[in-house]
Amino acid sequence: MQTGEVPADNSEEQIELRLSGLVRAEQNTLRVANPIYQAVFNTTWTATSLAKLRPYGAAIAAWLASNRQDDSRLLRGQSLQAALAWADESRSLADQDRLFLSASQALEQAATQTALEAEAEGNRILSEARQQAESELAAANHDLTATRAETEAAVIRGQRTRRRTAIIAGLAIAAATAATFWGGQRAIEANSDRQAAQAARQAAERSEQAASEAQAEKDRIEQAMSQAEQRLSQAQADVRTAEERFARASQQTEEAELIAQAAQAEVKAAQTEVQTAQQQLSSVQSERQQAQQAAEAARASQQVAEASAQQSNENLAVAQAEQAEVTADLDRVRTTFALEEESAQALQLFEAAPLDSLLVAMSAGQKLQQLLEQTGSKNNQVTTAPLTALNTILPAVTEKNQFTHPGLVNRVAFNEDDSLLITASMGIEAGAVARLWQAKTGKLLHELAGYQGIIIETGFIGSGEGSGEARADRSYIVTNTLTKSDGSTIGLEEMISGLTSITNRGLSSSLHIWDLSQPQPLQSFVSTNRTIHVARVSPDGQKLATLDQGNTAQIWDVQTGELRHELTGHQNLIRTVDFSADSQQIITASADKTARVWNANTGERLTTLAGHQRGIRAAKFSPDGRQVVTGANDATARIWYY
Amino acid sequence: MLTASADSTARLWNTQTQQRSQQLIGHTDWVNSVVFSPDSRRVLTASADQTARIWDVETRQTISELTGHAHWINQAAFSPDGQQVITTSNDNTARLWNAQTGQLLHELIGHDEWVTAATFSPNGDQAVTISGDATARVWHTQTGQLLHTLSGHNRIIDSASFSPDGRRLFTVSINDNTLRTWNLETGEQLSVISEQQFWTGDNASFSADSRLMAVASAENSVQLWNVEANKQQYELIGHTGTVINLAFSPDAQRLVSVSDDRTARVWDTQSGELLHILTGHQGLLTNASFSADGQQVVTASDDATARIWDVETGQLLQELIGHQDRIKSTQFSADGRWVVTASEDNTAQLWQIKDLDALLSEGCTYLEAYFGTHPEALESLPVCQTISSQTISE
Repeated sequence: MQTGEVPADNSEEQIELRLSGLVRAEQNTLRVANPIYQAVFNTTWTATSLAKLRPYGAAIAAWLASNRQDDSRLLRGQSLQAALAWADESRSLADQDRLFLSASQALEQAATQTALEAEAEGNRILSEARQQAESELAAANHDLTATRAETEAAVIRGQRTRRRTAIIAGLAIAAATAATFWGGQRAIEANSDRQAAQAARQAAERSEQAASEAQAEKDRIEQAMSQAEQRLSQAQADVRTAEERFARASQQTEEAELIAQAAQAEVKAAQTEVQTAQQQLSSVQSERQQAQQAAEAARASQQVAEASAQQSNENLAVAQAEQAEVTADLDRVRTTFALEEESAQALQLFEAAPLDSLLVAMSAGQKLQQLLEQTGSKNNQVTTAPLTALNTILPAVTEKNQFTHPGLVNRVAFNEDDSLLITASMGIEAGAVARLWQAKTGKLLHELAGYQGIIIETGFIGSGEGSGEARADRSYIVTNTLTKSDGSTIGLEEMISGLTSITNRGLSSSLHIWDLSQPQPLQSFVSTNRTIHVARVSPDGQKLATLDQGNTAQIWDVQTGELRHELTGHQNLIRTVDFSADSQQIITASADKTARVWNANTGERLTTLAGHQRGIRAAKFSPDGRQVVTGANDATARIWYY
Repeated sequence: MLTASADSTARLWNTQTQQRSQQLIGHTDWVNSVVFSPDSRRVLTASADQTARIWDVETRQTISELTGHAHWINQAAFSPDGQQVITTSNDNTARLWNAQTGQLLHELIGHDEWVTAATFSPNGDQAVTISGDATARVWHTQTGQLLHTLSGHNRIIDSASFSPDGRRLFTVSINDNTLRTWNLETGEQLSVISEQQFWTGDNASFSADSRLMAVASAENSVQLWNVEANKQQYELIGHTGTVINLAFSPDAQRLVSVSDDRTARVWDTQSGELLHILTGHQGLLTNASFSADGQQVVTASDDATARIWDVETGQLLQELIGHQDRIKSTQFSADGRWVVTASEDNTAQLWQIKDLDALLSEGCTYLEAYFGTHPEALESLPVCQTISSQTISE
């Protein structure tokens, strides 16, 4: 499987595989018939499947994991027999299975051999002991037999000696008797028989000598018999000794076995002792624990009174904590809900009041930040709504600042470098008010107030030197007659005019651009059905923007007098119009509360500045074209970064 | 800088937007794909204008312009060490470039049809290209030598992915309905799985570890496959339109699918469970991608917006408004600070991703002038007081 092919050997397994269609024979090799099979029945599959099938899956896995070193993982005894039986059941085994099983068998055989050898050795020792004992017994028997034979020979010899002695003695007695008889007869007969008596007496003496000799012989025989008997008993004792030695040899064998048993018993005893010791140890420990428990119980019982007192306090505390937790949960839910509400409110507010909507979103974001700091959680565990609101509003917000006035803001202007802002308003009570601001910080630098009248234009003269307040004196306003509250007036400042500021404020349907030095207009714009009341010429002199008291503005080509674009979209009267310094953009401000910025070349609307709460009266680009300032009936001037 | 929206709703983008989305301007035709370099400091764009460009994230300037292809560049990729770039083109070639100098290293010639995509092996030694000619080809990136032509698919291959050890390659073709495994040492096909139920759409995607493969199937479902086991694990059912893009989270625990039902769906790959339906796009979705931490998903759409979603809650976090046309490709940077989008408006744009603290800080900065005229507003926003005082002290 790893190699992709195996040599074909027409084995039963291979034929089975071929019949199954899993493999096909090709030039004496077997290949997997279809790569799918190879992919499906891969080594991983095989390993898994075999692991499921093998009765010894865990053992072989462990054995393989030990690089086939750990013999303790090999199978033995019944499990080996079971595995072999399983292997015999016609399954083709993997190499590693065969290796595993043969290693197991080898180990088993080695173990059996060792056992047999030990047994043989034991038997050998025993039989040697027996042989020795038997040979000793045989020797003893032999001795016994020899002694018996000797004893019997001695007895026979003794008996024979006694018999012969007895015969000799008998003969001697008989001779003596005969001689006695013979001697008495002779004495009667005469003295001559003295010799015969003497001879008889000599014969009697000889008989008595023979008798004592016989007696001595008898004694000697009896002594020999007693000696023979003594030797017999000695032989019998030898037999006993031999028997004892045999018994002792047997006993020694038994003892050897007993010693082995005793050793085992000692091991067991030792184990038992260890167990006992452990039990004792644990019992000591448990006793100590019991003692400690008892002590603790004592202490505890001592503290029960206090505890029960504390318990009631704790129960109270738990109840209070639970109450607090529930309250906190409720607060959290409320806070989350409030945050989502506030965020939704911010988003809803965006179209109409972008800066206010940013403030609301910031408020929601600030609350979320505080909440996260308190709880240490991540925002997506509470709510992501403020993030979404800020992510939506921050990139889109154009309204930058609001400058409040006591009346309708009707004129606005930036200075040359956008650092100063002049705004003018008119109010029934406040009258005409002009304010000079630091544009970036919103700081009020100067205020002109307390006059009745209308400021008709505001602006700055020239680029000047220095910056900030130093140039505040270069701002100007153009007014009609302004009357102080005390009745005094201030003079009119003439507006510095050029081509770009030529306007026709007359109510007419035509417009003319004049070079003031020439008697005839440079260009005339005929505008039927329109009453043009505001017109601005672009700084580059190429375009003219006009307003006709309607909802649209017009862009004219100054050179040709043609109407280039009609700017449509405002929902109400357009009150003012202004070109950017580069003449590329135009802004319209309308009573519909919006100002719109347009591409002056294409008439395309670029952006709508919504936020004023009432109609817009004034709108001007900053000289760098990046900002717009608007003034409206809502008594605010606003700066926009668009 | 100023753009009109296609619809009539007031859509405002401004200098603030420009600070958040930084345009990468230079391509003269559609930007087909965009990726960050592994160190998040560069961006690689592939364009229909036959060039690829490497951009500096901080300066937004083009570092290198990779010119030479004779047709659209479909896709471009950085090598794992960021040293090489591979581009694949409809001129039937792929090219290897030095990512530092922009110098052409090797032209990989051999495919008979458009080369649609390329991937580097995990160690960067090899790259695989897939093509309309139904083959995948494996190249040695140092020498440019063709190592293997993997033939077996009979239709265009949609995706290829290396095994983590780089020794095998997995390819999937939706059109021939097969998933194949290849031995990269021999170039042999190891296995092929042919699915009965027909696959659809034009996207199949592998997880980063090549353990899982997702493919759009009939009945608007997504099949989730265990690649190693060659086995389908789940059929993810729920979309009501054809599934057109699939992306795994970096840890492969989540899958996002986008469909022409105008939704994206987030799935748990362990359980096959649908977690969230991401709705809101006004046009067809084209692409989706996870952040490196798997916490966010960015989706791109025909509606010229991209949207960032919180994976945990399924909530919309941010709408990326600024492109003029369909966004084709989008990706988070590995450091999580940026999202980049590639559009048919010929630009790519970088979007800064801000957390709550950064958003509040930005808001405070924006409101600085307002606080000058409205001190009471600063009073109610303590979060801005430290920032404001810092600014004033400057």
